[in-house]
Amino acid sequence: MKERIVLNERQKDTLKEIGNICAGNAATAFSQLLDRTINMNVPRVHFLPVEQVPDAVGGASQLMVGVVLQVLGDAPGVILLLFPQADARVLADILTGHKSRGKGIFTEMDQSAIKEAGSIVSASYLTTFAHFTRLSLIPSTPGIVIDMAGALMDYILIELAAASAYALLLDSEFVDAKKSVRGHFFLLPNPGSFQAILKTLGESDG
Amino acid sequence: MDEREREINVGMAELKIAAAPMVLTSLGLGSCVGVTIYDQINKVGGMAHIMLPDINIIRNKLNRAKCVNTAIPDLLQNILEAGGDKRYLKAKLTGGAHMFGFASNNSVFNIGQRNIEKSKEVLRELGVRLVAEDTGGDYGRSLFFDLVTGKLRIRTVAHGEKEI
Repeated sequence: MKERIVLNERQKDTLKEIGNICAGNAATAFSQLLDRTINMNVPRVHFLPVEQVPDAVGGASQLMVGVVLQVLGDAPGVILLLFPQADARVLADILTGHKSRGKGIFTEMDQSAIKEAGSIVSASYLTTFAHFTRLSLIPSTPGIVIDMAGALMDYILIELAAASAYALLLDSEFVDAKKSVRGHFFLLPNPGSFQAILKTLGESDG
Repeated sequence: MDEREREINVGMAELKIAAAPMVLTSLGLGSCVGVTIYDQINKVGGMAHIMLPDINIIRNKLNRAKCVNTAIPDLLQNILEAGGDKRYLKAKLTGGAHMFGFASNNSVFNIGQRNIEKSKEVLRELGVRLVAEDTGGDYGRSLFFDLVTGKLRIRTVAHGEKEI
């Protein structure tokens, strides 16, 4: 079965523009939560073979803390927030107000705080995205995994791989002023959602 | 050759064949399975890093290395073409973790388990003996398959390191 590659440069630019505004609002929510300035860079829009995603997110063996939410509603997909382990440690310390014992140890409290932060940032991003696209988008409750980036990603990509050879990835990098908390926010619409999103933006081919 | 120079990386949805003294590696497997087949006598073998159990249920079928029921037969075929002898072939199976759960999402959840079961079924059909496995759990694995010894070293973040 042949699959048409559906994303052109103009569509990419539109998505980048929307992603930028969504990420801006998410950064504001994140800044308020942490009581420190968080900046989000202009997002990158990747449209690439599913197999190349682990490399696009920084290498399969990197140790990461990932918060994953499903996006439910009119354009289902997945949100993934990825933090290098040391940055997740700093984030947990800020959120819980405790100083940690060891850099690799995440207590229940730490994990729950990171998940909550992921939820707030995602909700803010999705609210803005829904506003632009007029789609109804609802985040699920978050899950957290502390493991190699590859192991974290393949779980997300497997479902996608069954439906399409390509993944659409909106990638926003965020960083605080001290550069001690750095991470990535990824939105991965399901293949069936690509067209739904592009259509609402007046960018659909057909 | 030092350790690093001997390594050949097998990415997600890839399969590769090599001979001693090379080491086939695959990093960060979660629900994916890693299947190795090795001929101890001729020191030739291969590794596949497979995402899904069945090519018949996916839309885009171009990459045969993505699915168990095409990747394993191709792996076997390529090893035979590279000088492997069917009589000496032994398989090892790893991965297939259940990374974490959203209660609502059973289809994804069982993927690790389904990959494991399908791999065993296909190996049985092909008549390749499965001699060792390290599967399941809720954690990722990195694989280092030494074609000199046929040993498969498995590294994890929080569950130690082992060799099968």
